[in-house]
Formats: sequence, C-alpha cells, structure tokens
Amino acid sequence: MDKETIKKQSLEVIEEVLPDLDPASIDTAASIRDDYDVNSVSIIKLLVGLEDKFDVEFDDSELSLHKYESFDDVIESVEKKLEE
Amino acid sequence: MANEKILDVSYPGITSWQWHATLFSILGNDENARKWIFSNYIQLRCYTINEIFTGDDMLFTDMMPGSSSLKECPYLIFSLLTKEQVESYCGNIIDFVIKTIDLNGYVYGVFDEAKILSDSDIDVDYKFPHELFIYGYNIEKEIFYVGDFTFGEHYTYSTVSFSDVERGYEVINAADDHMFKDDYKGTRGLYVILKNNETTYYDVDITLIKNTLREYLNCEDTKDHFRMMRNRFTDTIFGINVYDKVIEQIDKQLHAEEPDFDIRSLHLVYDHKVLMLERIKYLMANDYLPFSQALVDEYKTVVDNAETARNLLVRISITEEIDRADRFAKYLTDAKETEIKVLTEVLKQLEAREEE
Repeated sequence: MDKETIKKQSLEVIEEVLPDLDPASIDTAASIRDDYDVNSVSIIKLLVGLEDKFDVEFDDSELSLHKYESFDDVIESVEKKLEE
Repeated sequence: MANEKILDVSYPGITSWQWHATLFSILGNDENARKWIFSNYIQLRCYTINEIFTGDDMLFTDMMPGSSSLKECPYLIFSLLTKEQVESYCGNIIDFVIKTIDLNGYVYGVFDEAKILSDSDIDVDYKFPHELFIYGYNIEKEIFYVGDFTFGEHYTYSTVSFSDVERGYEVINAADDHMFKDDYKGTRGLYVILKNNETTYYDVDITLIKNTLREYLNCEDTKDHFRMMRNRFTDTIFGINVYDKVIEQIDKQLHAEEPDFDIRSLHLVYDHKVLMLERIKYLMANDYLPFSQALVDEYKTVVDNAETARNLLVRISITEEIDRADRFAKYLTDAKETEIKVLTEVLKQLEAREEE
C-alpha cells in the first residue's frame, strides 16, 4: 500500500474516532495534544481503529500518548508496521 | 463586580481523583508548593468501599494525605461552610460562588452532576453526586468555569451554566454529600479555597520523606500516626503491597460476569510513579540526593510499566479482549520489583547524606 493511501485511510479513521475534528482542516503535522486535544484515552481509540483498518497490531507499550507528537507520527507508525 | 473573572489554573500533572486535580490545578508548579508536595504524596493505600453511584464494591486507592490534602496543604487557605451559612451570607449559591471568586476564592463541593449532564428541561430520576471545582464566572453568558472528570474522557476544564449549578446544588442533601461525610461532617456544604503561596511556610522535609519511604517499602500503617484524629480500621493495605491488591482487583473485575473496566486504581498507581520520578529528579537537582542518571532511567521503567498497564485496561475496555488480561501481572510485578530496588537505594542515599 502506498503512503498516500495509508494517509487517506488513516484520516478516515481519525475522523471516525475524533468526530469533533473538522476533517478539512486537519494539519497532520500539528500537535495532537495542544491543537487537537487528543488524550491518553482517545489515542488508544485511534490506534485500535487503525489496527482494525490496516490489520496491524500495536504493542501495549505503543499505546502511550507520549510516543506521538502529531498525526504524522501515528500514520508513520502504521506505515512501519505495514512494511514489517 | 466584573462581567467575567477567571482565577489562575494550570492543567494538573496529577489527575487521579478530583481533590488532587484541584490542588494541582491551583498550585500548579508553584515552587513553594512543590516542597510540600514532594515531602508528601509518598505513601499509597487502598481499601474496598461501595462505589457512590452504583453501590458496587470498588477498590479505593489513593496517595496520602488523600482528600485531606486540600486542608492540610500550607499553601492553601481552606474554609468549610455549611449550606445554611452559604444561604445566610448570600441568599443563593450563584451569588455565593460569584462573590467568592471575586475574593479570589475557588469553590469546591459536591453537586448532582446528573442535573448538569442532562438536558436542563428534563428531570432525571437519579443522582450523580460528584465534586465540582469552580474557578471562574461570566455573568453575561451565565456560566461558571469548572474542572471535572465528568464532562470528558479525562480531567477537563469546561463551563457549566448558572442554572445547572443551582439545580445540581439544591438537590444534594447531607446523605449525598460524600465529601463532607468522608470528612466525618454529617452536613451539606462547600469548601472555599484561597491560594496562600507568597510566603515560604514549609521547606522540603527530608526526615518525613525518609520515614514515609521506609513505611512505603515496608507496607506499614502510616495512618497510625493520625489516631488522634481518626479511629483506625484494619481494612487498609499500605505501600508496595498495593500492587498485589490492584493486580487481584483487575483480575476480579475483568473476569466478573459483567466485566468492569474501572481504571481508577491503575491511573492512581501511574500518577504515583510519575510524581515519584519528579520527586527523585527534584531531590537530585536540589542536592538532597547525588545525581544518578542510571537511577532516574531505572525508575522511568517503573513509570512506563505502570502506564502500559493502565493503557492496556483502556484498550481492553474498547475491544473487550479479556484474554489480554493476563499481561497485567507482569507489567505491575516488574514495576514493583524495580521500584523496591530504586527506592531502597534512594532511601540509603538519603540516610548516608544525613550522616555526612
């Protein structure tokens, strides 16, 4: 799967899990905590959503909000798992 | 009276339980307050209570001094007012809160948050008594600025209308006011909290830190020191043994007929580790302990394991994959073993420093 498709499908999951976000204005490089109010629970909902979408699995230690500064970081972690 | 006044708050580093989130919201990173905070919040305790809302058994886990931290902290001025006093002084709760905020006082008390959560035109037939922290108002918009866990997935600052606060206040009686009841005050009322942090009233207390670390590692009854204020019960588990009770409880709640995903004990344990790591760094930075990156890094694994255990429960609550539950014991047992090792070394070094 190419990077563009992964990003597009990841954004679909982001929109599903964080319905308050305006999909048209998501800046994937912005801070997920400061700019999008992602918290320690919503990040896990997002990661579980991505697991379902891409048939990948995040280790328990990868569920920490501290591991991701931006949506780009989250998407990149999906890319790495798909490359494995 | 201004149209709007919002008292200072900073998002709390510790969000377990409303009383801790309130204290940390008000005092934030105040340098004086940190000296008191790092000298306290060391001992852990847990015991079983009836959950306020459901009546079910729940494991109540907390850091000492627990909910009394708001009145014990020397950097807060804490007043307790009964409902009768509030009404006599101001006539109604709205005016009381506004006047208190005008005098730089934060308001903290039990409100029926079912009234706040529900559509204001509908009278729900149940109560959800919960502590609300009020730190600001806007008269034109008729809203209070509040901090609470109830309005989001985690601790959030938001707004509540004057009318919802009034409705939520009026229906709470003495029996519902668990905050006063837990404090052995069989009445209904509110707390007013003022900042008191311009003068240094309390320095880092190394003797208290050492004694409490020892009690934590030896699972001793720290409450035994406070028998003059409270009768003692024998139902409480202290210190490092809290890990084992939490493991037992998580296993029990996940394997119940209807699994329960209550995360509160695990989140409290995680917050305790976060604060302990900050304490160790603070003691090193201020030369109470010799600097050791290795010790900091080792304790960081305790924080990581506690966080992973908490996150795992959040994950299971979403996916309901109960078969993942066997991993809790490893994360928490690893955390416990490493914590014993690091804190034993910290205690040894504090004692050696005193003998120099």
